[in-house]
Amino acid sequence: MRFAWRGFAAIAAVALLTAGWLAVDERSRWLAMNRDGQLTKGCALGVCVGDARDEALGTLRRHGLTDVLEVAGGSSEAPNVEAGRTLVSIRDNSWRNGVFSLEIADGRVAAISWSYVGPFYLDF
Amino acid sequence: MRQDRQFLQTDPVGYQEDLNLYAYVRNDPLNLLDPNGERVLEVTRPVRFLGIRLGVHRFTLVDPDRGGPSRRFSFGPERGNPGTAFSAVGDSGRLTSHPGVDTPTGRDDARAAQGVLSGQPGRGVTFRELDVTDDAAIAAGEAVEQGLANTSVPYNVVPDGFDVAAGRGFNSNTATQLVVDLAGELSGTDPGTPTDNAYSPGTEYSDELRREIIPR
Repeated sequence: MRFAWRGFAAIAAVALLTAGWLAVDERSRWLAMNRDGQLTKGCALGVCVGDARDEALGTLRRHGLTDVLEVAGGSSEAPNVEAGRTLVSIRDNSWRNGVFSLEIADGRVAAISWSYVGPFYLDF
Repeated sequence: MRQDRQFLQTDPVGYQEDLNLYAYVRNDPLNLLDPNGERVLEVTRPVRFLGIRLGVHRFTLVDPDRGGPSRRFSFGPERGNPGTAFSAVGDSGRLTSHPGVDTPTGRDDARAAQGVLSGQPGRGVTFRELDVTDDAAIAAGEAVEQGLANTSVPYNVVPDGFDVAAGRGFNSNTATQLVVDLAGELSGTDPGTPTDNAYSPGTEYSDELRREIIPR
């Protein structure tokens, strides 16, 4: 009986820790519940639609997101982005394994999107 | 090539009588010549699992060394349905094109392509030049992209013969090998198969994928 209670306590502790982790870590929450997301208003990872590009990249650097690639909207690398805009793609090389993207129009963030796949992703 | 601008090349797969691939892709074989001499590359980048290299992912790249935008033909699991080492077959959604840099597969391929084009391939990235014309490669890539968009082929991380026979899907290497096969046919050349001996699951099933996605 004592053994069963210990097992139950361990499971409850893990569940609580996981819930706490998901509550504070936005990217882990995406990974668990919303792997592909897009915003045209609001904020994600501290970056808000309407922020200046450099300010947004500075915020992302503080999250450790520094692997930045920029492509022109409407090009084959950004087929779903309006021509005249820029797509800034930031690779998240942490265990969460994803891409966080900013659509930039007139020097400001016009849309935010992400695609997370997790640590077990294989794309043979 | 005949005066009526139809290729005389026959289809080594053996079902050309049912399939006018040339009409499907462009119906203009004269324009599949290579006026700019651009290179067509098959690029290989490592696939790692928890930091350990398991094998390679391949994609096709048209090198814009004489101007014009590059074209990259990358494939992988459907967005939001990632292929993992633990996925049951079908759990990763469809096999789809990843042209943009807004998914991990597209982004990693774009970075690998950038390194190759700048003469500084990243760690573990290799490439081989294909003996095909750039327009043929683009037509072939578009045909595979369109074929996958029009059908619903499951993504299978590591397809085997049993999976393929049971209709359980293909992976990105299968789609890339199909692009290479079709580009070779359109160019009238033999682009061959990879010679790097890297583990590249799925490559051998391009004929089977072709039967599923290219209209007869």
